[in-house]
Amino acid sequence: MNCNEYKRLASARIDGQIAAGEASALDAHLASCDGCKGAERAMRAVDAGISAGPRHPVSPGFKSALFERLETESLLPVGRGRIIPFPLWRWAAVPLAAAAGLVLFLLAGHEAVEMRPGGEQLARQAVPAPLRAADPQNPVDGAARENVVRGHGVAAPAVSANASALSPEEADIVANLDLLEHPAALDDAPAALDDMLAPSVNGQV
Amino acid sequence: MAAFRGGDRDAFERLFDRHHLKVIRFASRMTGDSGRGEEAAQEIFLRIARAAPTWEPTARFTTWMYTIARRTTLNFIRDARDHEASLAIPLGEEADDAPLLQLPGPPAFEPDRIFSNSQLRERLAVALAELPEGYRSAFVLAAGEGLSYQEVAEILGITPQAVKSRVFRAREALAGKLSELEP
Repeated sequence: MNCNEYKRLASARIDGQIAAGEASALDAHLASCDGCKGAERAMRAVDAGISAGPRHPVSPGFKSALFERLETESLLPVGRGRIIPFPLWRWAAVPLAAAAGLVLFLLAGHEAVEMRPGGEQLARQAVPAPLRAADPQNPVDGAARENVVRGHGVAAPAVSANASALSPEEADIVANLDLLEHPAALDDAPAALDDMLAPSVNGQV
Repeated sequence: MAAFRGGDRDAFERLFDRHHLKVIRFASRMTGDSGRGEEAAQEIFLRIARAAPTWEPTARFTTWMYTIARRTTLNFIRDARDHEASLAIPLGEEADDAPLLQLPGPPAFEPDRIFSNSQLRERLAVALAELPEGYRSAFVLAAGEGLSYQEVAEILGITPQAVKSRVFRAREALAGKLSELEP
């Protein structure tokens, strides 16, 4: 083995890639060859310089920049807590959705009042028939109206001459319209009538 | 790696945490500059993620990773500047009878002195980046990253004996540069 081969062995030993038998042969040669000994020292110095540095800390944004690129290319699932960029035009959907929701709410509320089971019946109960007849302009029997004003109470409403032509529902509608046009009639109602109304009115609130 | 291929983000984070310093160090040594090394390392991890479906569970991950790292870094260097001259490996580089450099004697080299001199280390890093690519890759992987000659051979696609020769040539050349730097 010549010096050239021993220097190769010396290089391999620095990398830990030498057999035990080769190592002892190398040591024996280095003990007697200053040239190869110097070469080995020089190679060790090179490795010392390379392994030592230069040392630079990794840039703080290295990982975040890399992971952002990976996410952009869909190579990585989006991390927890990460805010996904949201195009501005998509924010226009927010007020539109709110407006649509408001319209739906109003429509649904209106229908709910109209479709409320028994609502019409409750409204009818709130105003008894005698009071409905207490309007002077109402085409009901004058005797009935007189009874109400005097506190005699509960005479059934009598319709005018053509009352027989009205169905009960139609008569009821007519009576309710009167009440709506002249709500002051409620103020003239007797105390007993107030007591009678109170639960029903409260039930409507 | 298998977990990452299954869509596990945490698996990739673990992979990154375990290997990113090696990748950055390798790329920095290959390019001779830590900033460019980090840029190259970003590309390396992107390619690792893109190539994940091609990884075979039977392959050692670090060998696969360094194979990608080397190719990516070389592409990065080529894109940055024309490296045709330094990429060429001279004929006869692995021949035993190739002429050797005359290495300086013992007084010029003290490993401890090199280790503690930051200016020498910087210039040595530049000298490493200027080595022919064949020498540089073998030396950085074996001496810098501590891989076995067999692993380096797999990465470079050459024989372990050729790795041994290239690493020696690289050390020899760097020692020559060091003798120029030393007073």
